[in-house]
Amino acid sequence: MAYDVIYKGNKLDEKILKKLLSVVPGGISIKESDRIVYARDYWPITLRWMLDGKIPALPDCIIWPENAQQIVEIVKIACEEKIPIIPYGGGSGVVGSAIPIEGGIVVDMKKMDKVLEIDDSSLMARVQTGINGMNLERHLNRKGYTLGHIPQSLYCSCLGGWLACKAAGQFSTKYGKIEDIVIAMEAVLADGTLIKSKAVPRSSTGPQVEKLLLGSEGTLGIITEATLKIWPYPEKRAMLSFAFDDIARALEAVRKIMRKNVYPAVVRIYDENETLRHFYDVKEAKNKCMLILLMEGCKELVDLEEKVASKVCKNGIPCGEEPVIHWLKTRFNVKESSEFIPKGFIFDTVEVSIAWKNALSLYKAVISAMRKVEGMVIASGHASHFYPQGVCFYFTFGGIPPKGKEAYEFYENAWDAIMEACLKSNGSISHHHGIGIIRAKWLKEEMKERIKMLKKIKRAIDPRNIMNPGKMIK
Amino acid sequence: MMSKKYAWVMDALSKSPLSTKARAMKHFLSGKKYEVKGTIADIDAVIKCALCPNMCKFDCPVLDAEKNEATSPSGKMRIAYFIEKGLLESRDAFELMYKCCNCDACKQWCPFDFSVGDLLKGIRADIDNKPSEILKIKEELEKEHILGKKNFDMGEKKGNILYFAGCTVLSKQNEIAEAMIKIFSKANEEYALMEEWCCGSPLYNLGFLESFKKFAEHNVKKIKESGCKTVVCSCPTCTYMFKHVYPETGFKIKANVLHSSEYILSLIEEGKINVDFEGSCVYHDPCVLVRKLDVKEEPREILKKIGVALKEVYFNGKDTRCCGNGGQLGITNPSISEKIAKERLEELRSKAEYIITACPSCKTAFEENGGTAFDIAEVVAGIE
Repeated sequence: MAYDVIYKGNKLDEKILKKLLSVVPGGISIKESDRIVYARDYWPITLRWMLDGKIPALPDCIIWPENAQQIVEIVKIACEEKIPIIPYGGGSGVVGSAIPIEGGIVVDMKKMDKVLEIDDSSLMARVQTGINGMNLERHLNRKGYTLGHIPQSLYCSCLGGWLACKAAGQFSTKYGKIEDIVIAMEAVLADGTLIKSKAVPRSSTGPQVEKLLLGSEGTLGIITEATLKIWPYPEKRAMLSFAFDDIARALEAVRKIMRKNVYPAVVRIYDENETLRHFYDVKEAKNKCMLILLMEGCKELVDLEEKVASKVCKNGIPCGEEPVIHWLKTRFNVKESSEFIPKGFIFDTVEVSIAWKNALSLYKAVISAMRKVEGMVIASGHASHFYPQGVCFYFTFGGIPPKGKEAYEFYENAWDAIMEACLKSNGSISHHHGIGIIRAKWLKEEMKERIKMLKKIKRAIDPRNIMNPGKMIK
Repeated sequence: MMSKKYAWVMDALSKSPLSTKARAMKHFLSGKKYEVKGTIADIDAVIKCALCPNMCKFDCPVLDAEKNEATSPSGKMRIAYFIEKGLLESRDAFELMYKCCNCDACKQWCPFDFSVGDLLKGIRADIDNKPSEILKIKEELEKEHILGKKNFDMGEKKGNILYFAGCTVLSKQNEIAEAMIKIFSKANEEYALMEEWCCGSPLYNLGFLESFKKFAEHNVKKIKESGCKTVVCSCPTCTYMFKHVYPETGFKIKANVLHSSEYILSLIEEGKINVDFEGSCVYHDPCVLVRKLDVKEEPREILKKIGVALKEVYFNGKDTRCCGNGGQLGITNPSISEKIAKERLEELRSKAEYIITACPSCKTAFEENGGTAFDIAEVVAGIE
């Protein structure tokens, strides 16, 4: 091998491979090229490693099950042989959750990608979790529905990843996050037990234990199927945008909209730097902070939301529909990594959540902390998900490692600065990207005593520690 | 780089400490750290694609058929980068570089306007140890001058409009050539025929650039000798090669090159042919025709004018799905090609039993997988 491997720890032998092959004949690969591609997710630092000829970690094999029963058998073999299992969907996670740091079996769910049932009267769809996000949304659109879950990764992520990493979409202020959208799940636990929950709107039958899998990042089991809320495709869309003098005024406007129990589907506030980045053509927004709003649904409701939002935003400069149309057109253009990483830039985005009363101070603290990191060039943010109780800030940092510092050192310094500032401001260290590798060391401080409970749960469900080991909790 | 679009970076940079500013500018200006010298492949583009989160992959027919991340557009480019850097020499890595149907679905979603099929051409050209199956295609082409077994000898003939049938028509879809000849006759057009060699697309796609040139030279010479001002091709790929790739690689064709659907429509509009058709069909847009040549409406116009009750599938026009035969995938990776064809066939059949298309390769893909398909020329000439 002419390339370096950062995390090493492979253990699969011929005997185990044969056992796996008996479960999924022809559905396994040990090819070098496949193992390299499945060596990482979209954790940005791994992009730099790739350019430097480094592989994060090599799985022993990749396996493509076609049904839940095969997964049960695969997990049983892995449990018996104490081989790590790394569930894999779209590989679009950005915190390293899908990197097989101890080697093992990557279970790629892509063959389980069917929409099994659409229940129009109950507005629910039962779907296999290997389905790609855009293919699911297109399927629903063709039938006259929307899921309303439109993350920026829509084109490259899948349902299983959304559930396992507790995703949030761009339209989440109206439709909710994935935990609000999911009704029921089927999953294979670490000992091979297949669990299923009922597709009912609510039940008071003790803790909904299956929901422990939401946000578990593959450390407890593999989610194989989910029943999701769906909505009739919206009749109408209304778009508004306003430029505010500063982020405080923009945040205040949105807080007031939320207090009125009005939920636009898309609400986004950009700080000055990000307004310049995304709306450089909007004259009214020069040196200001842009707020964009998109309301959708039944016509009467949209008209009313538009009226209320316009009234609340009277202190902003109206910029019309155009900035929202521009955002709609460009929201999936992810070019920065491709353009800047080859130039030596180290980039990442970090999303956190915070209650309204501390929102502004957290924003200021994080921006200030990022700027203090030696080598930092870009330190900006926007707010992208809103609640009557608070907000999610989405920060971007980018810089060049100072002389004498390795890329990872600079990268970690930036992350540490953001995490510390967030925790000091009483924020939660992640709103929707998850923990993975990069946030794992901060989870203890985030969870305090609860981490012991999480560890107990992990030990109870996965005593042999085969499910995505080395992630979240060690 | 310094456009208004990047004002946010320049603004941030201007506020950075001097030492950071100096280092950043040095990186921006030199920026060649990851260059690989002496390659035919466009390494800058390969890197950009490899670094992308794979935002086009949901529409990639090969990934959809294979379900293997390595076959996704960005997956292939990550491996391509390692091959080009000399970090990877495994056979499976080289074979992966041929798992593409060159349909340009990826290009529809790419912020850089990349076509993975186009990027792969350079990478394949850089591979010294090409897989033996790939070398065989070149050897057979160089021997036979057409792809596949020629079983229809059209001969050579003088006339005003030069008809270029293409390899698939000459080997597997003779009836399309017969239909075109019927159309020429009905319209009283004096058609010409030449000694056809393959347009060179397989050689060009698979990375045999020197060999491709010989084929281009032959065809340019023969077209010139025909003296025709118009060339009509049944195959969208031949049309694309003559119109775009030949000039880009230094081979100029002075005649006007048309796809058969464009030519047939002009005959109908000029009143030179008149056809009545009864029945309902679904139209399949060939990838090369609709995406590379931007011919979407012409076939539909023809079908409308002759009275076909046209059905449309959800994935039509530039949103079309590949038939599986694009980019020589039917030869290099037949099992993937078959899966793609079956998937598309299922969608088309949900609308109508009879499929009309405008590409001999698409027609072949559907027929070989149990479908009933016709080229638009056959419909106009009268299906027998």
